[in-house]
Amino acid sequence: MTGETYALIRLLQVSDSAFPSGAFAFSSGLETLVNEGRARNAADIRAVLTGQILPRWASFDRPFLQAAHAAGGDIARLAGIDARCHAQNSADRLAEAARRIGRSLLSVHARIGTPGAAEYRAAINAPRLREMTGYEPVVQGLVGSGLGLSVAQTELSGLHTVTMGFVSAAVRLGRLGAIEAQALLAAASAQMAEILETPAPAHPGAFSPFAEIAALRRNTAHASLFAT
Amino acid sequence: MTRISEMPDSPAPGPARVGIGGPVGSGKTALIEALIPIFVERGVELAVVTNDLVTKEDARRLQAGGLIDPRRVVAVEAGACPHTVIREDPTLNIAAADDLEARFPGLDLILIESGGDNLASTFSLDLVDWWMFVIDVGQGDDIPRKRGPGIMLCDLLVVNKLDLAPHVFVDAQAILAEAREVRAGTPVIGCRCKGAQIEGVAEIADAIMRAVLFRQVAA
Ligand SMILES: Nc1nc2c(ncn2[C@@H]2O[C@H](COP(=O)(O)OP(=O)(O)OP(=O)(O)O)[C@@H](O)[C@H]2O)c(=O)[nH]1
Ligand SMILES: [Mg+2]
Repeated sequence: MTGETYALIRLLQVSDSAFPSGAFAFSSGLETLVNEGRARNAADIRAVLTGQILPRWASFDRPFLQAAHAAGGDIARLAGIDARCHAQNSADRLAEAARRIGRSLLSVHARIGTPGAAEYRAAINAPRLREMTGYEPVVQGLVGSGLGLSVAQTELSGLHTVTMGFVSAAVRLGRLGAIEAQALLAAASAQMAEILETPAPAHPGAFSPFAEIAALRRNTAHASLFAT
Repeated sequence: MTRISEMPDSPAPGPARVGIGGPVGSGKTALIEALIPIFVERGVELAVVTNDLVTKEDARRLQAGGLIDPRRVVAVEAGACPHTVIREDPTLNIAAADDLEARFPGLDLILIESGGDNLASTFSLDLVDWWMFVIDVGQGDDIPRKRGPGIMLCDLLVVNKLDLAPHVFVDAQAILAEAREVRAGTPVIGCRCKGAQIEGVAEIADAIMRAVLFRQVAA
């Protein structure tokens, strides 16, 4: 067994949709777009994925993930990255979703003994920190470094997770067939590869107003399947 | 085999977590409503997590019912998957229960109601210590015979709405007998949790207290 093979096995494990993180209960604003009739079919879903979801990950989540990976389990540095992620997260609902997913991911990794996870979880457990730390890309970066994944592997996993989460929400919302979903993933792969092969922006910034505003517009009185 | 609870960072023993699963409309929320006054009377500190498919209807119903402090009831959105959120990926429910535990330090018991599902739904033991499955006589007298993991694997099978049996042309005692037979002696309780004559609910409370609260309950 080489270290590289071991890393690949762990990469597959943590990137699998069977890895529990609660992410399946979030649609990144898609449910609102569907309810409003703005996303009706596979073409609309593809437009939201390629125009909003992937660019948002590339410009916003990715720099935080990279920074957290580079922090190598240093709790003070991770907390600082989380604080910056919190300050820059302009869409409340998406921020809350990212914290809920990040925090549950962190507790699962703490429970299965991923290096660094229990320590960071204890560090951000104080009630005052609950609403501002534990963001998904920060936890992904921490976990990737704890598992011995390279930053490129960790990014691959992060992008895969957000893409699969969005596409599977579209299937459950009945706007995309299961096979159409695979065609969409195949079609989006080139863009995903390009994102990963281009350097991340030096400073995180997000511009995906369509999906963000949809997530904010979500009417809490309205019956909903998803938490965003 | 190493149990998850023996792995690093296993949570401190807190309130017992009890799951309530079962098909749509079998009376899961009604059972909780009937159990609350019994637990209150017995001095058991209680909180509830509900998992509704598309609304927070069950949480609102319990919050508005005046039986329990509304802050002790939280709803989890299941992302269209009532069984995923209690079995394959119970993390959101675990987080909701952890949150209740942190906010109400004296809790003895957290009841977790699943969204209505089919006979195959089961609870992850990462999430609950013990769980029951609620069916009702109106769903057909062949339900126990159809087995299904929900019916076979639960710690307690509850057969609700005994009062309806004559109206849906089934024999309640025969359903209970068959349920006991397929479950090979593991517990089955028949009940009625609505209307003037509530029955069987105190026995369900006894079963919960014996199994997870380790309280002495007169047989
Ligand atoms: N006759 C009779 N009706 C009952 C009994 N228990 C519940 N009901 C009725 O059955 C219906 C469904 O009850 P709920 O408690 O909402 O069922 P549930 O399993 O929580 O439903 P979901 O959460 O939607 O899956 C309601 O109309 C109740 O009043 C009972 O013992 N007898
Ligand atoms: Mg209910």
